[in-house]
Amino acid sequence: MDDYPPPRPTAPDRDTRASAWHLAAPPAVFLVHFGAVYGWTGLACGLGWAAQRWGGVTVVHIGILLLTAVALAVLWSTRPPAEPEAPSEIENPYDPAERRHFIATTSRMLVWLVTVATVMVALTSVFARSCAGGL
Amino acid sequence: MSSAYDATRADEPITDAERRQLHEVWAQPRGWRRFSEINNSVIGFYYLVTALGFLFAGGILALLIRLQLAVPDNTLLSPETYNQVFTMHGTTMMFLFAVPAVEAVAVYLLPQMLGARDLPFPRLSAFGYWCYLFGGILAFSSLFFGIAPDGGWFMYAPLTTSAYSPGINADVWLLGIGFIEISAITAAIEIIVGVLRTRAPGMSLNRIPLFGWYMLVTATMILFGFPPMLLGDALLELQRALDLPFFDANRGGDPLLWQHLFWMFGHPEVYIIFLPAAGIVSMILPTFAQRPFVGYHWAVLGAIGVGFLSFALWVHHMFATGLPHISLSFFSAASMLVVIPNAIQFFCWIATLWLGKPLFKLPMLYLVGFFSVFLIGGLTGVMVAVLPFDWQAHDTYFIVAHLHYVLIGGMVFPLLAGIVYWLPASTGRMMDERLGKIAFWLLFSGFNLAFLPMHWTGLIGMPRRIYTYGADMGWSGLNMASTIGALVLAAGFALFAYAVVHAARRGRQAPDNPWNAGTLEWVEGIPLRKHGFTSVPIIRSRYPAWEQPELAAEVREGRHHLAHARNARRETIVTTAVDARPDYVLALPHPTWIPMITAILVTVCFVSLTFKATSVALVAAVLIIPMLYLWVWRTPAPVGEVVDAGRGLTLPAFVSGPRSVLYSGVTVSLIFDAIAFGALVFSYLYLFTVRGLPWPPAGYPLDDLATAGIPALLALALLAVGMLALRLLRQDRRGLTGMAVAVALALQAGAFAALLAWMRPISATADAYGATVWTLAGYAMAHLAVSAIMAVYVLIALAAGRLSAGRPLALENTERVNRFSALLMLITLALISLFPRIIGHG
Repeated sequence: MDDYPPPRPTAPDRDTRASAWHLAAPPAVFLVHFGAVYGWTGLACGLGWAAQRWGGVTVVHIGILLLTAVALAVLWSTRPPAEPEAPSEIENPYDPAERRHFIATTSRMLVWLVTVATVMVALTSVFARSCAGGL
Repeated sequence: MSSAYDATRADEPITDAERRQLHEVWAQPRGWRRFSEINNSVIGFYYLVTALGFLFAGGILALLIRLQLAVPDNTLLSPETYNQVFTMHGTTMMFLFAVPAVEAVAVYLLPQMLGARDLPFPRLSAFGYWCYLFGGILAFSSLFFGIAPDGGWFMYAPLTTSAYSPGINADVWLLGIGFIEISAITAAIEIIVGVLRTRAPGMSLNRIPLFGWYMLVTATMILFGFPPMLLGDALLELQRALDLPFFDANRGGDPLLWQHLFWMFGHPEVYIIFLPAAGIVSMILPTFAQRPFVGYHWAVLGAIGVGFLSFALWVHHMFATGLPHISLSFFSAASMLVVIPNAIQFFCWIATLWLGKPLFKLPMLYLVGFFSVFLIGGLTGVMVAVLPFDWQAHDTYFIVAHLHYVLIGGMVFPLLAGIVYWLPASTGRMMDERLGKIAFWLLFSGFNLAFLPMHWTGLIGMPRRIYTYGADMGWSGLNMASTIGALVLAAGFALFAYAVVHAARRGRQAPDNPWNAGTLEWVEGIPLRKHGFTSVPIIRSRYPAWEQPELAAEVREGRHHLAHARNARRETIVTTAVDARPDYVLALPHPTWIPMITAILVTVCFVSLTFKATSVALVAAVLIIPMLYLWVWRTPAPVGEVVDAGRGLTLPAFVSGPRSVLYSGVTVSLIFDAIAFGALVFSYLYLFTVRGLPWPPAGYPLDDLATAGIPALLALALLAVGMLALRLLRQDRRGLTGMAVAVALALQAGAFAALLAWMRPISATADAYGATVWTLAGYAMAHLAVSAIMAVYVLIALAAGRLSAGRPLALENTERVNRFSALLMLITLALISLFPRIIGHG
């Protein structure tokens, strides 16, 4: 039976925070952006700002585009660097190489998924030009 | 306190005496005391049996609906009874069967899959289970007294307000379901902390069995999805009981607010049901493909993607309510986007089969049922995400067909596959192949015969929820086909239930790993033990049964961790969240009646409220407080400073702060609480956008800032004193700590009174604005009361010498709740007092 090195004393761990942040940030950005777009549209349509235009584009759409630009900037700033694939045979069960590769790869794919989702939501609302309907 | 390692003691096997003690400590009590058991593998079993019982009960209601609709102009049921039956069918299936069933599978199997002796809060799971059982029985039995809910499973306002539903039927739903949801939340807390902190050493995030990942996402979704509905429940009940007009358009409310709050829960609910089932599929497929899962990263991505995108879909249930087109457009986009992560999961499953050597055994048959049925449900889902189509199909039988293809295909078939697959692990016996196959074909053909025709009945115009129809409508043949299909489906379920009972009693003895599965739960042989493994295994791969061939013998011989119960205590190893390094040894509680008694008191409280017996409800509520004190008091205290965790490893017996699972549990609870408060803030802002300026509306003068300043100052003082108390305890100045806590108590009382005085001039019933403002303040006041109850406990614990600089956990958590309450107060004050000034109150 293999021995393994003793576990590290469990002081707050930078890796833990980084992993949680990388996995949670993209969904959080999407939800905040979605909520902000929905809230902005509700306010603009509810309070009558939707009729105001700037350079031919309505205030609602300008707001959505700005929110989307900010969301994408934040999203891509959360993208972790790529990590090399770990060797297939590992001795130490606590070797973080495999886990780092997993978190980095999954987080980077999440950033792409959220980018597609954020852009698609923003584009469809930009193409829909009207506050018609109720609230 | 940190861990230590002694390599010279790294290979000691378990002795016979230790093995015996391990079994004794974890054995279920006998006789009546068996119901005081709190071990998750027992509670999970109770949960599953109860959920399947409700599936059976809900199925009988479905048959009644189908018999009523079999022929035109039928009068088998009265219209009133029919309304109650279809409402209770939906309610039972969604709240009493589907969510509890997936949670049941999780709490039953997760300890074994993760390599834990038990999940971290077994009393919480037991409490949740008893709440679910009592609440479920009470809600369902209302049918027999003619007081069952009759407003549809989504209980739309204004139909369900007291003006249009004057009886107590709607109250039964609102209070009953609110009560039952407690169990969902307790299970979510248990699962989140359990998956993150009680995994076997070495099971880093990239080695968690996929079911663990799916359950982690699901439990997080419960955490975010359930608060809006619980809040909606509370608001509607407040309107019914106290005339607070949240949903009354004549008094500034909006019926659509209910739909928003309900569907913020209701849509994620679909995925809360589906994702665990997808997790089951992802566990079973690699076994029968005889290879590791293809695209583990992608499957995790898919689960997380579905999880967060599902929160952007709620309005697609409201496409026909007249929302602005611009809002509809991005909800429509999001509805289509959710196809991407779902498709990713499908492709992973296909790839696993494609690259493997599939064996077509009984569980696979049920998975084929899942693939074909769920695929159709998914495709019709894309159809109804398209606005013009949805406007045509909305509230017709097309939607009934779609949702049954999604829910039965996406949840029931995988659940049945899971039962067949893990039956040997649970009972040590195999299901009869022939019985299982006949049951499957009855289920599959019956299901399709029942629900496929509903697509056509919907497209030719048959609306949902109608009591009967005329012979001239042209729907008779299709409805008769659906009814025959429902009867065949029922026969399939009956045969399946028989096959399970038959297997458990007289089934063929199963070998140790009958399917040659690779995941951890199969490693030490079957049937599974209440304490999990003889020694808590060290994991090096995702499929330890395949890739660590020496593991089974080592674990059985007790050569890994914690192969004993030396202090005659139930214990498990807590590991770090990311890399699963051993962190400390958690002492778990032994069987106790406290969770059941607390659940009984909560039941009395809710039932009394339903029947307007306020004084009885108040007595029950007051009695809950000493039960909670007792609960915390009886939390096992550590014996000594360190525990020998076996294999040469010594671990701390106690930790405080963020390392403690209790700390994590409180964090998860506060997140839940914050989401509920967020939903209340949403309601306030929603009503504002509906009304527009002036805000506050006419008749509600803006308060003067000086009056709002008093509770704000008290909240700030509360923050400061709370932090001071904790600092004093960390310096072990217990007397001064007690004084600081006493001052905090006085401040809580003062803040409560100041909020009350501030609210007094505002009418709660004249306008929805007043109702919302009162509810916001009431929410903050309720938190002040909870903080005060916790502060009293801290004083008792200080007096008894149970709190010290080294054991500050109770005060740490009390202080966090105190901080949260003060924060709620400040946000409430800002929202009511500052927000109107910022937007120019008109």
